[in-house]
Amino acid sequence: MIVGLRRLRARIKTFRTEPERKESKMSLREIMDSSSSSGSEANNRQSNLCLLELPDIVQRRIFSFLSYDEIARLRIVCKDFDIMGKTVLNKGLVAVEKFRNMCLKEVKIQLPRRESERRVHPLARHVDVLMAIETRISMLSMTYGKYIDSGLCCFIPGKVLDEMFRVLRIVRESKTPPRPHEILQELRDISSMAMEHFDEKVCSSLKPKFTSTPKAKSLLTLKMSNDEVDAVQAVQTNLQKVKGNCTELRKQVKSLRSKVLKLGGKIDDNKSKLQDQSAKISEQGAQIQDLRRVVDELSQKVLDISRSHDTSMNKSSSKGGSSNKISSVKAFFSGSHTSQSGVVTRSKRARAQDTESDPVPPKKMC
Amino acid sequence: MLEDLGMDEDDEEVVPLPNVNSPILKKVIQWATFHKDDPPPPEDDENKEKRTDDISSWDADFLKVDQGTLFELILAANYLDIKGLLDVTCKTVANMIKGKTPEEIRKTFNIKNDFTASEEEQVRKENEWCEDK
Repeated sequence: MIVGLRRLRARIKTFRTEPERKESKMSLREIMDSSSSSGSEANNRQSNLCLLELPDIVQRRIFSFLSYDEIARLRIVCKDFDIMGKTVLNKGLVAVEKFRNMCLKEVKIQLPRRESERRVHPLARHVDVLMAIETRISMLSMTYGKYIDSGLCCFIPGKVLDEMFRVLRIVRESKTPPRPHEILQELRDISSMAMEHFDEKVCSSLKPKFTSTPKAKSLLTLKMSNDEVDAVQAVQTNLQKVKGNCTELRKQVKSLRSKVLKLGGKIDDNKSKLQDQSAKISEQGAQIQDLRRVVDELSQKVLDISRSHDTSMNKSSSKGGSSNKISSVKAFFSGSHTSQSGVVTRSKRARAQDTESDPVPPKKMC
Repeated sequence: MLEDLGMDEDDEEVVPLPNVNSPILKKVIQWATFHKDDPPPPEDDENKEKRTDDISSWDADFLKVDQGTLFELILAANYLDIKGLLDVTCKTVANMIKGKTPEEIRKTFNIKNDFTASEEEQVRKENEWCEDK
């Protein structure tokens, strides 16, 4: 507190005006005296601040000094109280479960390992009470849980939370608590009443809302306005449309891919055909070269033969008919190097003419 | 608060307090001066029962002010992080709420009932579970 007072002294400086600083420093008592005299002014000056205008953290602090039963009753005052009350009651359910787990953990540490020894231990009663409370919490969670998660209601029975906390505090602080059936009777009665009433009277009006409400709404805070909820729903419907468009586009992409694959296969076939044909062309070109070489060789041989024949004919110049034929053969061979088929045919003719001119006796036909 | 502002306790620098006016600050100083020798308040334990009947007589007299001043003291205590003052002022407001019907609370704090008839009926039906038949 002395430290806090030093801080306050430092802050008082901000409120001193120049003339006051020139005067002797006011002691804190003097400040307080002046404040007490002006306290009535503060009392008379009424601020327009309202309870609902206080920050949420401050409102929660004020509510923390009220019982859960009172908070549940206050929900009907106004919407802000209803929202604050729902938040506090839902947190209370979580807090009581956490407190129960903590108490059980503290008790179990002190218990022996053997089950038979645990039954006769002084803390056995504590364990029974804690296990019974766990059962009640489970039943209440099953009754209210899904509606709380979807934001349709809160944990309604605040009185049940108060009773649970009361029993847990007794179990934690007392070394010899009352018997389980005595200490838990009130809790069992009111929790059963609450669950029965909820199932019979409240659940019927909430079930249609629960089935039609999407699960995403449960993640929205209770303080969101209707406009914000509509905006979220619009975004969700747009997301659905985009998803549908995406599936259609995926189908189109798939069909285009299959077509591209088919065309690719055809292109490969054409390429291989082209390669085969170019190989054949080159092979045929080589064959043509060979045939031309052969023809040249043959024509050279024929020329050689004709020259030798000329010389022999010149020796016997009286035989004039054969020299004309030989000159015609020479003329024939001088223009015979144009086409393959022509070469083959003309070389046959040349042979035929050569055989006529040569004095070879004909073969006898049997 | 000084830690939040990044200031040292021994600094002579001026600390701005835009959210606290001078009459309220004077009241805060008055409370702090009276409680200067108090031990530090214990940490909050949510499992412990919170009582509102342990307000001292001096604090009760100190807080006999109008609602506006009381709420401004709450805001100042929250802003200046004075836990003791915050607790006692919140307890005072809680005592103003306890034991009152919803209509009395609306009247005390000038709150408007903004429920529709169906909404109010729904809340009433939910709270019927503990009524004796």
